[in-house]
Parts: sequence; C-alpha cells; structure tokens
Amino acid sequence: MTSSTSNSKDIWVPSLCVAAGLIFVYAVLVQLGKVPSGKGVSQYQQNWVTMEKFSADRMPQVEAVLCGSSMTQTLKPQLIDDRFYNMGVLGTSALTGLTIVNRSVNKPKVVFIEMGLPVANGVETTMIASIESPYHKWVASRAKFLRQDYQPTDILLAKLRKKTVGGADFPANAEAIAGQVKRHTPLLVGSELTMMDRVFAGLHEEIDRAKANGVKVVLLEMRCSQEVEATAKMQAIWGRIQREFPESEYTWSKPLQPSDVVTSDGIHLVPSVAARVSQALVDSLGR
Amino acid sequence: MLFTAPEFAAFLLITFGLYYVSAFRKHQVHILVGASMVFYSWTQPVLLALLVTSVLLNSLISYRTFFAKDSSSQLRWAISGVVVNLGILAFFKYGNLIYSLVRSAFSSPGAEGVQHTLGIALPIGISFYTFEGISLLVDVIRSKQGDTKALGANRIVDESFWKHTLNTSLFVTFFPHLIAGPILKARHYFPQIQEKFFAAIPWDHAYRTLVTGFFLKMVVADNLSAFTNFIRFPEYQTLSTATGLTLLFGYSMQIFADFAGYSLIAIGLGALFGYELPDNFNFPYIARSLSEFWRRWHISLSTWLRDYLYIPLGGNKKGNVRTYINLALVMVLGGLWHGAALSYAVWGAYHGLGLAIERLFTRNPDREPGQFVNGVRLLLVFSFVSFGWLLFKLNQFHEVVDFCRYMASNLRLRNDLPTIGPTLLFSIPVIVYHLYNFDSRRAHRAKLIADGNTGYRMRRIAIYALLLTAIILNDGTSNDFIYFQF
Repeated sequence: MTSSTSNSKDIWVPSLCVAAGLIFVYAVLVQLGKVPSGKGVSQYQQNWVTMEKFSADRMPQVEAVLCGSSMTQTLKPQLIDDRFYNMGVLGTSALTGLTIVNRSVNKPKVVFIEMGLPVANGVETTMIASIESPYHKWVASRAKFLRQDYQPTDILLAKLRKKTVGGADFPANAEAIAGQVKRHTPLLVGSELTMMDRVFAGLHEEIDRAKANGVKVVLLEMRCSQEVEATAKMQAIWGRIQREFPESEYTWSKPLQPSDVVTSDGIHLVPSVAARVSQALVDSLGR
Repeated sequence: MLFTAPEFAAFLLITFGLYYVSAFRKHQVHILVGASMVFYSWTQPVLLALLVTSVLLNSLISYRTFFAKDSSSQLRWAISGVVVNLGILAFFKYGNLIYSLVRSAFSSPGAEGVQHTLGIALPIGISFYTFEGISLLVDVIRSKQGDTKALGANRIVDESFWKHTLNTSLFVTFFPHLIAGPILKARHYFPQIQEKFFAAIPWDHAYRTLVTGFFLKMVVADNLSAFTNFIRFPEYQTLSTATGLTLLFGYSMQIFADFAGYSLIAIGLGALFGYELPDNFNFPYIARSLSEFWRRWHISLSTWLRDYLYIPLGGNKKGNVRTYINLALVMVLGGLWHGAALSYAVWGAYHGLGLAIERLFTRNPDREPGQFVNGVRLLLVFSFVSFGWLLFKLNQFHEVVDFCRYMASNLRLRNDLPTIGPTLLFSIPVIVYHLYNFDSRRAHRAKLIADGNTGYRMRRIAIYALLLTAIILNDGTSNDFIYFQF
C-alpha cells in the first residue's frame, strides 16, 4: 500500500470535483423523487429505516401502526391497505416502535401493540436516541440523500426482493423449533426479569402518552408455536403480561386461536397464516 | 473519539488550522500533543491519567538510559523501563486473566477479576502505546551500544529533559496512531519531529490514502459488520452451513477492511501533519505462504515482534529446535498481545504451528512455482487464516468448537439468501483491491503513472471519485474499530 507523491500528476482536485458532482446529481434525483427509497439491507439498517421513515416523513394516510418485533414484521397489512404502517423492529419489543410513534410527526388513530415473547427483548434506546438526535433529524428532513433508505446498494438489492402478501409456505424447520423449545425451557433469569420490568414500565408510560394524544391502543396477542408456548419461560411471560395488562382494563385483539398458529421456526408465522392475520387487522379497522 | 464520528471532523479542522498558523509554528508539537490528549480522553477522561503516566515514565527512563555513565547503568535503566511497561500492560490487560487463573488454581470459584474489583476498564490502545514505550527504550540502549541499525536513535534524546518529554509525548500520543497503530519505532519517528510547512503537505498521497481508508472502513467493514454479527452464540446455531461459511468469509474481509482502513486513515492523517507513518498492510490475502502473510499483515506488529523479541531470542541462528521454539513463543505472545483470553493464545499457537509446519516441509516457502500451484497456495493460506479469525470473533474457545460442530451438522438448513447476498456484495471491494494489487500489476501501474498516461489518470480520477461518493452515500452503521479492543 505504498504510495508515491507527485504534484504534476495529482488527481485529488479533479477527483474531488467529480465526486461532488456525482453526489449533487444524486441529491437532486432523490429530492425530485426519482430515486425510490429502500428498506435497509441488514437487520440494523431495516430497523433504522422503519423507525426513521415514520419519525420524519409525513404520512397523512396512515391511520394504524403495528408496533412490535420480527413477529409483527411477518404481517403485511400495509400491502393490502395503505392506512397501515408496520413498525416491526427486529430483535426488540413493541416499546421501541411505540416510543417512536409517540414522538413522530404522524399521529395515527390506532396503535396495535404486539404482546408475547418479545417483551423480554428490551428496547433499542441507542437507536431511538440517534434517530432523535439533531444531526439525524436534520439529515432525515433536509438531506434525504444521506438517509439509509436512499443508499444505492439498498435500492439495488430492493429490486431483487419480492413484495407479496402470503406466498408459498415453506416447511417448518423442526431443528429450529426444537432449538427454541430448548432455549425457553429454563425459567426467566434475573437479567431477563429486570429487562421485562423496564419494558413494562416503559410500555405503561408510552401507552398513557398515546392515549393522552387521542390514539386508541389495542394490544395484539402474538402467540408462538404450541411447543414453544408450553415452555416454562413462555408461560411465565404470559402470566406477567396478563397481570400487567388485564383484559378488563385494556383492549385486546386476538386474531388467532393458539391451535391455529403455524410457524416456520417456532416463533414466526408462516406466510399463509400471517396473511390471514393481516386481513383480520384490515377488517378490524373498517372503512 | 472515532475517525468516523462527526465530531472528529470538527476536531481535525481545528487542530489542522491551528497547526499551520505560522505564528504557532514553534508550538506545533505542543498543539499536536494537546489535541491528542483531547482525542484520547474524549469519551473516558479518566484513562488519560495512565497514558500520561506511561509517557512520563518512558521519557524519564529513556533520558536516564541515554545519559547514564556506563553501559551497565544504561542496561539497568533500560531493563527497568521494559519491566515497567510490561508491568503496566500485565496489570491492566492481563490482571483479570492472571487473577482468575491464580484463584482457580487455588479452587476459589466465583473469583472476580482485578479490574472488576478496582472498577477499571481496559485502557484503549494500551497494547500499542506500551509497545512503543519499549521500542523507545530498546532503540536508545541499542544506539548507545553502537548498534548500526539504531543509528537514527542518536537523534531520539534531546539534551533538554523537557524537550525530550515533549517529543516522547508526541511519539506515543500522536492521535492518528494512538489507539490502534501502526506501532511506531522510535528510531523512525523521532528524527521526523521538526517544523512542518503547509506547502509541504503531500495532498495527493493524503487524499488517496484517506479515501481508500475511509472506504474500506465505512463502506466495506461497517456494512459487513451488520451481517457478520450473526456469528455469535446462540445465533450461529440456526445458520445453515453455507450461510455460516459465507459469514466467516465476510468476517475475514471485514477484519481486513476494518484494520487496514484504520491504518490507512492514520497514515493519511499523519501525512496531513507532515509525519510519515509506516505501512501496516501489504495486501495480505494474496500471500502464498504463511510467512509471506505475516510480512503483509499488521506489518508494524510483526516487525516489532521480529526486531524486539524473535531476533533477541536468537531467531533462526541457534539451530532448528530453537528456531521452532522461538517461532511458537513469538506467535503465542503475539496472540496474547491481542487480548487476555485463551482464544487469543490459541490463535497465536495456531499460526505458530502453521508456520512451523510450513518451515518443516518447505525449504523456501517464497520460491516461485507455477501459476496453478501459486493459486492453490493462495487459497490454502487464505482459508487457514480465515478459519483462524473465528478465534477473534467468538469470545469463548468452546464456542469456536461449537460453531464448527453446527457447521458440520447444519448442511440441510435453508440458506439465508438475504444475508449471503449482501455479505458477498460488500466483500467484492476487498477482493478487487487485492487482485488489482498483485505485484506485477503494481509495477505496470507505476510505469503508467511515470509516463503520464492520460487514460490511466482519468481512470484513477473516476475510481477515487466513486469511492468518495460511496463513502458519503453508502456508509454502514458506524461501529468501533475492531482493533480498538486490543
């Protein structure tokens, strides 16, 4: 990686000018809406894009937001009805999405809050803080071309992805289901309990804030496969959820009977079942 | 402070501006030392105390060594300095490991590490700056003892203790290399400490180096990192064999892009301030033997280990058995330099064993066979090295074994194409970077530059413009540099 220095054959000034020109053209194309926005290539990027879009872009048509995790992300009501926005943030609890909804420029009429296994996942505080930082707020609103959803590789890869509701079910992965059962057989440990305490406290706070903003809050029951639901950890989680959010005080939506749940890996619904749930959610919103 | 953080841009602009104001020219070293202290203490100011202590001790001891009356006093001072440096490193970096080993030897379960007991975090860059301290002491004693290789060292120690301390501070703390190298040698750096002029900045070299470095770090390594994170417990258990191996390949690309990117940024920043830092990487993944790999990978560490450990141990001059022992010892210590964990020692031993076997079966590992044999050797060395990175990626040795077990049994699992695709896509630049820089091609390109070939110049302008555009438009989610943890 040795480099030579030669003033007469310097390339840095013309190269800088060409780069500035390219970036300018791209920025103009993005601003004119000629560049489609992507969804993020990696899990982190997908989460970022999902949250930043709702935080910064005006979406007057959105009336209902689904806040949850990857379990919620498998649902696609937004592809049937554009009044829906799916705030499924992978690897976290519904608290992450709900926090963003409450701080967003968009005010939906109803939020569906995923309840189930992911309440033990915690909350993405770092990402929320970054999205809410003045620099990223400025980028999101004034310099869209610097946003993650306008990255050239993302747009390139997005063209290869299919946008479908439902689709063919793939066979359940027995090893993955067995792995999840094994993972959730032990009782909740101290750190998980602490994490859940934090999530529940946050959920109560953000639900109250949403209600104060005039948003209807519906808790969405999302069950895992029956094998996973039978584990000690899952039963403890549901016991805690029911104590924190009793049906007598909160509005619940239970689109599936536990026996109707079919998953690909013990946790995520197969496409056909996810499509049924999506349709049920659309129907529940009415016209 | 991270080179990729927005606040670093402001920091650099202010430091650069002050540095070249002609009225402050006499204080350039003060400005750089002050800026470096700010840079280092940005997130954890408390760690500055140890860095300053280390600088002062090295300055004092090297000064005493240089001006000691006789050679035995010189040696005493130098040895005490090396012991002090190793002591600092041992306490802060290996305290936990040593403490837990001692406790477990005496069957005391639940032992907490020394650092935990004292509440001290691992100081960032400690492995780098203590090695530089040792380099200073060894170069000073070698120059006093008439070692011709250390001739530059005659210009290390100034008669004024204050000025020597200031120079030592700059040598150790100069912010481009402070946290993750390249590891400087005193005899190369001290002679460069003099007044610098704006007109002498090698802009083209700095531009190309910085653009390449930031591209490797922000576009390649940071994007790959979002995928290779799945090589962790328990996520790897659900990866198919093809997905897991692709991610391991991606990690191999990432660790190169991350560390070579950092080194190039450091070299480019050094050039902006008039200092020439040594190359740290020379396209290691085109190496056709392990010994060649180690001449191309983390060059500043491998030459440090060669100059200050392998050769003093006798190198390959004391018979075959001693050569193998020296090789193994240097590689295990080199592994442990990266971190206080069994996996790092095993990683060092793994490479030591590889080098020993290579030496045993090859009379001259670098001789030129045919292209096909060269290609096979390149792939073998790359596979060997990439497999070894597992010991870096997974914190626990048993997890490495577990990963291998799952990769052997997950052959039938569904491949995760949304992960495999981008991993391969973001690996392409590293592959192209290496293939583009085969020695024969480099010679050809040097000739085109010398001849002033217009077409080639245009191509270079376009390539660097595209790299810069990608840095601005396609950076990954910002992550710490992997080598910061060492």
